[in-house]
Amino acid sequence: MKPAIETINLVRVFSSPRGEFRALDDVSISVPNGIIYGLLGPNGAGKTTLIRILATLLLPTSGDAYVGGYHVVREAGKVREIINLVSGGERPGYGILTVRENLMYYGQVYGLTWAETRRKIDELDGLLGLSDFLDKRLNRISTGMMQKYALARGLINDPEILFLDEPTLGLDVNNARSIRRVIKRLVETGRIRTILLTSHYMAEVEELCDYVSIIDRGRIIASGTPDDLRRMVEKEIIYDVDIRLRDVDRLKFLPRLDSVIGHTIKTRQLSGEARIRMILSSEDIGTIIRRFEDMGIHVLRVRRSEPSLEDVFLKLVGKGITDEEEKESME
Amino acid sequence: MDVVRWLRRFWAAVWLTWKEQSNWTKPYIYILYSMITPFFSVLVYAYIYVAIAFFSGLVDLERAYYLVTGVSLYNFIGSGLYGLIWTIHSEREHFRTLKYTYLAFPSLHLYLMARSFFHFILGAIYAFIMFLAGIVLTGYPIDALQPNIMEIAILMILGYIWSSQLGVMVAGTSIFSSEYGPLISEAVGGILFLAGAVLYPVSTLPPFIQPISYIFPMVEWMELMRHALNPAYVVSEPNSLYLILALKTFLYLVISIIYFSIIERLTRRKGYLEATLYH
Repeated sequence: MKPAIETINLVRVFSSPRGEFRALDDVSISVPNGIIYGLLGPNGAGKTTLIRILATLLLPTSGDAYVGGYHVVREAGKVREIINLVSGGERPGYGILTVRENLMYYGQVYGLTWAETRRKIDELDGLLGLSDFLDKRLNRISTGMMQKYALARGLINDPEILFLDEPTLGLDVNNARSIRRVIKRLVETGRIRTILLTSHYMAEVEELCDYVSIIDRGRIIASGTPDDLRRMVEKEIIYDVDIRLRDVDRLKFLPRLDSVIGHTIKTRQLSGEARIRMILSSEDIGTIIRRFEDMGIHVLRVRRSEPSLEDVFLKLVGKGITDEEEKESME
Repeated sequence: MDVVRWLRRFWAAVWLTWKEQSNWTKPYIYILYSMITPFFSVLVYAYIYVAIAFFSGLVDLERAYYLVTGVSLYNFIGSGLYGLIWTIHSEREHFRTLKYTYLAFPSLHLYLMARSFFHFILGAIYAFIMFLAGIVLTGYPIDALQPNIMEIAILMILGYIWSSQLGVMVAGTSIFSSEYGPLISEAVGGILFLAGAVLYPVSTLPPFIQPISYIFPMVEWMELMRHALNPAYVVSEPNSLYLILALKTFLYLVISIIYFSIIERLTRRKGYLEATLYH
């Protein structure tokens, strides 16, 4: 059986007067049908570029890509018939129309009849809970409502393959959780066959995805199920250390320590606390703690932790993904 | 091809343009506004004609007919053309929906034609009101008019086809210049107004402009429309004009399909469907 999505040595180079930027560098992935496939990476890693190529919005510089068995360059029209795209942090509709009017419009543009579109909107209302804002103008709804609408718009044509580009970007914890619940249900109920999800939220990818590729600077640096990837760091020693500290710059010495393979710092601005997650090459946490104390940094808690996808990224790239991820997981 | 499905999509795009145009007020106020606007536009031209006639003592009803038909009918072409080209700008820069439209509508070329259809209807209404008001204001004998409805309908369809294809080509070009896109549309509209036999015959234009006039099907279209509205307006060899108009329309259609498909590919290569360069 053909994979739902396949890319072979995909390269995309952006040229500008300042020079060339290789957004995708020899990317080869294969996404089987019926799964949620996660693409995890920091901002600028190439996730959105890959989705844009797969959704036929952008041409690759070289290499091949197939979606639903169709070539994204030669059979772009056929690809568009079986996909839809939801991008986080965007307003994929007309602010002058209500949410219902927008959905009616897109339904008909996708070729559904008036009655079919109305039925579909009722269905999507049941799935996503749109009724509170269905008759509000799109330019008057909140970010959480907007993302529910965006997902409804992405489902209006019952796509075989759905591209979700940072679907919870900018959402608060509750709204993000509710969107994640819906995404999970979409595949479980067989409503959507395959989802390609990009995110820089580790927890999101870990919770939703059956298979994950980690992308950094346009290259796939690791792939596997979340368990496979976690196994890459099962032998590492991982510690979470909570400290009281406002000036993060004072921790610049950490990468210079031989025993520290990688670390992330998550700050809580209000309380003035920070959590440092460290991957160590040896059980040398005592030396590090003593170093903190010598510098007058008050250590609140030290805890040995189980490996997560975050640690895989940390081990492979040597740094965390972004500050935003850090904020979210701390709230 | 599923024609009903295509018509449904076409209709949805027409409806969207109606909403986009009229969202600032109630529908009946918008309709009222749409009728008043052309009336006041034609007042300006009628006043110019009446003032010249009054001060020079020359009353030239043929000239008045030429002027009134020119400025009225230009509304049909101009409104559709501007509306179509503006669609690219508004979808990409204002609503930022162009990429979703591109994914949803099977052909961006047809989508642009559909989005402009409402502007053509609006332009036809403008043209009708301006024509009637202009004829009355300039004192042209209304009973002399013997409009050939069938000919007018055919010419409207041909006008919609050629000018929407011209619009598609200009809209395609404007994808590459977000900043100057609206200016390009105004420039093309201006050339048509000046060189398209709107206010004066092509023969009165400077010789170096005349070849430009004949690039566009506007000259033949205007002349035939004038003749269809009033058989007393004489055109030499109307059948030849029809043939030239049909050939030019067909040529525009073929060229715009080829040109837009090249533009579409270049746009995807550059990633301009989502590029917001202006705001």
